Amino acid sequence: MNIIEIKNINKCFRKRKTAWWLKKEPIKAVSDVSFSVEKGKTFGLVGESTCGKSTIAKILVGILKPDSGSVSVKGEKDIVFQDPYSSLNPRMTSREIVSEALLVRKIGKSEIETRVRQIFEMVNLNYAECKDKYAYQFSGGERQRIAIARALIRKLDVLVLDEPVSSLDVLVQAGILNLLKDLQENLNLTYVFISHDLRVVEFMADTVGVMRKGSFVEMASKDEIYSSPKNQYTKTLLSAIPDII
Amino acid sequence: MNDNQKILEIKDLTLRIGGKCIVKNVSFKLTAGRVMALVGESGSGKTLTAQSILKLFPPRIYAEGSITFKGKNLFELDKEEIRKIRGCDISIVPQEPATSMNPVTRVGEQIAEGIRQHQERSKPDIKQRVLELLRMVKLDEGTFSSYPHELSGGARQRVLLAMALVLDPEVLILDEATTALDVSIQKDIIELIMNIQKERNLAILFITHDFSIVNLIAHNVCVMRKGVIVENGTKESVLHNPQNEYTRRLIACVPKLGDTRRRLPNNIS
Ligand SMILES: Nc1ncnc2c1ncn2[C@@H]1O[C@H](COP(=O)(O)OP(=O)(O)O)[C@@H](O)[C@H]1O
Ligand SMILES: Nc1ncnc2c1ncn2[C@@H]1O[C@H](COP(=O)(O)OP(=O)(O)O)[C@@H](O)[C@H]1O
Ligand SMILES: [Mg+2]
Ligand SMILES: [Mg+2]
Repeated sequence: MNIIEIKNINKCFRKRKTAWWLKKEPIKAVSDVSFSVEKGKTFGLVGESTCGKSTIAKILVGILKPDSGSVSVKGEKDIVFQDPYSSLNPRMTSREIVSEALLVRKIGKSEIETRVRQIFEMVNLNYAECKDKYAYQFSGGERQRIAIARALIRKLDVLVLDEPVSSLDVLVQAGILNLLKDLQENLNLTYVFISHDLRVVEFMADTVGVMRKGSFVEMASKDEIYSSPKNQYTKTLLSAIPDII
Repeated sequence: MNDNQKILEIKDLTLRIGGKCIVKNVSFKLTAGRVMALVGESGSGKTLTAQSILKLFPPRIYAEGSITFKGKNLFELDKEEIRKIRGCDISIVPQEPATSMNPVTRVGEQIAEGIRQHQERSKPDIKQRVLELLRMVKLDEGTFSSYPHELSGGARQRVLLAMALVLDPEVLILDEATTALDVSIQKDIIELIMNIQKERNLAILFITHDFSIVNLIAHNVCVMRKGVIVENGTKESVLHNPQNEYTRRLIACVPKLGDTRRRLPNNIS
């Protein structure tokens, strides 16, 4: 069953003016993009900066509307952004951040407390140590865990991860990737996982779309993309990956 | 390593904030024509170590040990003497590029500023030198009149490199120079750095948390954890035969193409 289905979406932005004599030219951020994702699977979206990845992410969760095309995402959805510094409210404690989504519902105080405690454990944060701290008191990796916890407190079906590990060091990245895999397995989550790093996408995804300048140049199963890429641009991206040994 | 070629030696560097020791007994040498990688997870003390070389650390820090550059202990020099060395002999490209570029000044002017602070030269002479640097970092001359925000991440990193090299230093310190870039352009930037390094026989301290970058650039490696160097040696020995458990984790936690592991090792007991 496809839980995400987007068809032929397009999105233009008006370019910010950098000088008064320049015309406000439109930028085609996304052109004619279609894909679908089955429940419990991960769609990997890979491409270089400004190719349109975040625009698709925002369209998926409804922060942006496409100019044309159709978007269908079944169930509860949320997004985790790259920058864990700007995505958390600096004036709230981590407990307040994570529990915020429950306050609008009719749930008792003690039940909220129990749920929040559970979620902290789920993302491997020590509740007693963390609950009263503010965002700036956490490391980058811890902030990303808080952002994931905030999303998971609502019973989620779809999580869009927009470069969730791109600003973290490799050890912290490994911890977050492991966590995301465990959560997906335990909660049957569907992911759209975005990154500029093909290694990380290979590690996470079942199906991969390679994007360039707003469109997909290639979309296939992970095995096909990595073992027998058809598109020249995909090959170029693969050959730019530094080998570790 | 040929000992008489060393141009910078850090010996028993210890840094304290309040009573807390955040860098402890760090020692290593930089050699002309060689790249030393300083590797470790974030918070391990890499940036503070690099800043110490030019006494750029925050004021509350208490430093011990010595930093010897061509026979002089930099810790014993006053502000004015350090200012003369900075940029001319030793240059640093800081981790936070936002703080080292002025958003409202054209790129060419920013590179020129480094020359003006140290040398009396005519306007056309300075412009000539700036254009030469833009060519060296493989940017076109049009970049001279661009503003930083008009450039891609890779081009901005090239400008920072040009700013650091404008006075022809012997030692270059690069703090996470490729970390914020797309993987697909990291290799290009590293190649550029390597070429310049060979041409000018630079001694480079290259700070990173990523062993796949170490493999591209380094001759020697120091692995740092919680303020302490836990392993050092040639790139080959550290990458292929790591002795320390933490080094092994840092190498193993990077996903590789064709990786079949379900989990990555990330924590160390
Ligand atoms: N709110 C906006 N206003 C104007 N242009 C935008 C806006 N958001 C994105 N863009 C432009 O759209 C293009 C795609 O951006 P984005 O989706 O953020 O790419 P990516 O996430 O792949 O780096 C870029 O050229 C970017 O400058
Ligand atoms: N100005 C400062 N005041 C207090 N602690 C600091 C300051 N700067 C850095 N630290 C602490 O020193 C340690 C090492 O920091 P840093 O050198 O930036 O590490 P790295 O560059 O390896 O990520 C960290 O734990 C950091 O929190
Ligand atoms: Mg983006
Ligand atoms: Mg640092």
